[in-house]
Amino acid sequence: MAGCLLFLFKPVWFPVAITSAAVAYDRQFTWTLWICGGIFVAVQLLLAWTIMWKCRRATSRPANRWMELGWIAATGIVFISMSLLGSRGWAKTSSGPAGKEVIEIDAHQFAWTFRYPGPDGLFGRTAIRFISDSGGNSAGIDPGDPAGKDDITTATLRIPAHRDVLLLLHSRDVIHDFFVRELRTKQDIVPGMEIPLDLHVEQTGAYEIACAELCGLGHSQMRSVMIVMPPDDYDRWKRQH
Amino acid sequence: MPGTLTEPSLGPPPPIEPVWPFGDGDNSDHDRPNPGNARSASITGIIVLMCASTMTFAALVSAMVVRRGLNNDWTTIGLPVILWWNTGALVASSIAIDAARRVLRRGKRTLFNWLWSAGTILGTGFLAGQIVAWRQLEQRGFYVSGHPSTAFFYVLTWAHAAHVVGALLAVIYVEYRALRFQLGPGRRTLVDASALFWHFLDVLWLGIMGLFAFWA
Amino acid sequence: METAALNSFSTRLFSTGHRAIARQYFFLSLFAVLAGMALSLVMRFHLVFPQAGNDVLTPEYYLSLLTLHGTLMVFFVLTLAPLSAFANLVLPEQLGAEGMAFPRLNMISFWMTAIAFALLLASFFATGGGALSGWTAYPPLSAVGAIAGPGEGIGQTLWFFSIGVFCLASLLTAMNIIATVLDERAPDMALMEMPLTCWNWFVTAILTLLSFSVLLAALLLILLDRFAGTSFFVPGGLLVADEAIPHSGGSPLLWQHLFWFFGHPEVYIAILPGMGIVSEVISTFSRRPAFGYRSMVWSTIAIAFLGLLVWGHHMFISGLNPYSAIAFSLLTMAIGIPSAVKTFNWIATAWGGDLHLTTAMLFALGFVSIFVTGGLSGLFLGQPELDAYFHDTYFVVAHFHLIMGIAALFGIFSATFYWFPLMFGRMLDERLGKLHFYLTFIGAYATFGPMHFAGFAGNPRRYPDFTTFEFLGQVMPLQRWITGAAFCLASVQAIFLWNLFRSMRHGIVAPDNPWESSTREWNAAARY
Repeated sequence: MAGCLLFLFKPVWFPVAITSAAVAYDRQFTWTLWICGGIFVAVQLLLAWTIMWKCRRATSRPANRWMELGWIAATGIVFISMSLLGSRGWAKTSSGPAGKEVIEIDAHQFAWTFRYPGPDGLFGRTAIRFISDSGGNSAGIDPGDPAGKDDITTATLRIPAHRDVLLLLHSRDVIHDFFVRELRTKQDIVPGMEIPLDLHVEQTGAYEIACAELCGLGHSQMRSVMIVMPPDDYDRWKRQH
Repeated sequence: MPGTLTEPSLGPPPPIEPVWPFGDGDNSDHDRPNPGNARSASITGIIVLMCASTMTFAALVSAMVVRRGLNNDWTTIGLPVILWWNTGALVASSIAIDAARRVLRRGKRTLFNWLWSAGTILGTGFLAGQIVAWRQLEQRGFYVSGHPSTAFFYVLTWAHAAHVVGALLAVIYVEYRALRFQLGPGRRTLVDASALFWHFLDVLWLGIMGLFAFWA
Repeated sequence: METAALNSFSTRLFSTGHRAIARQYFFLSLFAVLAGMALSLVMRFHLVFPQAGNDVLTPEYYLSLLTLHGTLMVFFVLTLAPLSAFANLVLPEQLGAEGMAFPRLNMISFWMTAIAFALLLASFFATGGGALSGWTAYPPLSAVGAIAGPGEGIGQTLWFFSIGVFCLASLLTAMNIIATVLDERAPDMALMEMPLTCWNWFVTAILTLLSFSVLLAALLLILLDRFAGTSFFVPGGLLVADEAIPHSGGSPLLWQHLFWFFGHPEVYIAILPGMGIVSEVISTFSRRPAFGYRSMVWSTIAIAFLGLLVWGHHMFISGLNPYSAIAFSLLTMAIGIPSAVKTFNWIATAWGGDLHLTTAMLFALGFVSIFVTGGLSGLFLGQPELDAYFHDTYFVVAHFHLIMGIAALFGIFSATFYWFPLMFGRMLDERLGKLHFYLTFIGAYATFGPMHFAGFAGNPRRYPDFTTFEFLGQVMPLQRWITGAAFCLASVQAIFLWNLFRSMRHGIVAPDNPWESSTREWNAAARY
């Protein structure tokens, strides 16, 4: 008796979605959930029915071509369309830093560092020989570079709401992953690469940042917070630093 | 000893012995697959090994292609001249071994011995030449850790040489059997299988040489 | 009588008989699965009681347990038991052959596997700790040595050597299976007349051939990175634990491509033999030939072929070109089609048949149920947009545990109950078997079902503890339930172990063809 355990697929577990991309995600997820849930219930019931309805005589059923083609076609259509729908938002590449708030994220074992370009709008040069976590220079800004003098380095990420934000993800040691649940996305941070992540957040609040790629013994300790501020508050904060 | 065991009697089933997770001390401890299939099975086995090696080398070459496109730090290696001599030796050994294989089919054991010995010596010469080539590269300052191109060169040639060592052991074993005149038209599966693998290594080497001479 | 020579210990230990080797593989897998299960229980306990035993259960110890658990289960249980153990047991007889094509190589394969197992255990107990980079061993974490973390020194090195030896052993097994199918088959059996079990083993062996060789290449390159100062996978400009790393120019993504080119076919290697066994068992206990034999064969080939093309779906958020991600996604969803064909064929085989619900049949039907569940969660992960949230969360853990940990395991259980008479000449107890089945089936859903919800909440995987994050506090009740269910599920397996070891000595002596099966391994000449 292959019983199907009915468990409630209520997406109450999901946190609030804070970008339009996240809302689109939830829609796609719900669609997929209904389709897969439907298939799940149907197939498990079919299996259960097969077992319950036991005939004593074993009839030999010849392979029915049309039936086979039928279910092949049906599954094909359903699965491929799910794939296409689920890839709709995917092929967008980053359009560059123009007109966006650019913030650099430096992930390392086992903490996050965020860097803002300051009023001059330029990031200072960095090199690993200048990195000193205890000395307050986690980003490794070259002290001899004037563009770097006004760079703001923080341990929490502050971004303005309702504006385009471009995060430039770096790692200095191993692969990490920038994950904020409410954004419904994550991005692996591969050392040796600068990976852009575009955001446009609609809702203010504080959201936890977690590392989502095994990076060593402190993997579960890499916590930070993304604070989404009203645009004016954000500008004020930047000026004050 | 094969051929001298008595057949199990057709009476009540034998008592169940204590169970061990290995052999039972009876006839089932040895597989005796049908000896008539041994030839085709051996050839299939060699083809399987060739496929596996091809995949490994394909993976290494694709890694090389990716790596080359990644940064601008690729330097072309000037191949030591001896590598061309080695290539010649390997191709010649393949020709000799194949010729040997064909004459054995016609039963010419003595000629086979000469040709196979030539192939063996040339094959050994190839390996020796490879060692010289590696030394020469190191003298020029190209170590495995310096440049990505040399790293891949060493990786591919070391992997190839490892296969050649294995194949050469088989070739030398055939040589040993041949010199004792234990091979012939009806006992040549070992010869055919080793020859096939040897040719495969030859083609693989030509591919590697072509890659480094004309592309990398 | 020559029995004195035959009975010698070394003949039996290094037996070249395929039945004996099958039993050796079976017991090696059994040991591995029990060890892996024990590790998982320690992990589950630590997750819900993070304070207990804190001086021993450090984060790095947890991660090394995690790595060992994954490695044991994927390699030493799921690659060995369904393929090496059971194919060696019945493949020759099912084909009408006298034995495997290369008996001595068969024996060498087993002992190489045993050496790989010993190396793996050695890596766990090495100074500095066991490797902690997961069974996927991503560089730079796994490539730069001990400064990246404890266990990344000699522990990681031994891990790589263990897997390397395992690769070679698997390649030899694949060679044996392929040669046996192609060359040792009885003359009256065409390829399209082989039992489905043989087809599945044959296709799995080809997959093994194509994928393990790529892993071997990747292992070679990463060992050179570790010891020879090359930079295949390690980029320049790294600062790990305040030490500048001298490598430059490599790409961590290259490892991921090579590894997953092996890794994805590996999971099909784990499941395809089980599917073959399920086909056989369902058809035997429905008293009918399998429905749609040809489409089953082509589905198996399609799954294997497509399985070689979808490795990128493990890397959707790694920085892949988005267009290639779409291609991988389409191919991934396409694998659902032959899988669905197989599912429908199994149901059609059983539909209206004369069903005998023996334990083997129950496990086979349970396989179908769980395979559907786990496969459907794969449809979420195959869409890059959805995977962007679920990657590296408990949703993925739920997905692969249902498919590999439970469905594939059900295939192994089904095969064990079905072919036990051929292994030991006796029958396993059916009542205990059925009890074991029902409790395991319920326990499996109870343990891994809720993990999907943890994934919905964004609970990341491979976390040694959940106390740092506020949102994880909300998920703790779920995790406690999962731990409780896991302990129950694990204790239920004691029924199986009792059944197994008791029946080996005291089970009912098996008649020649206890299941009235139509395949050849049950012929009287093929005796235990």
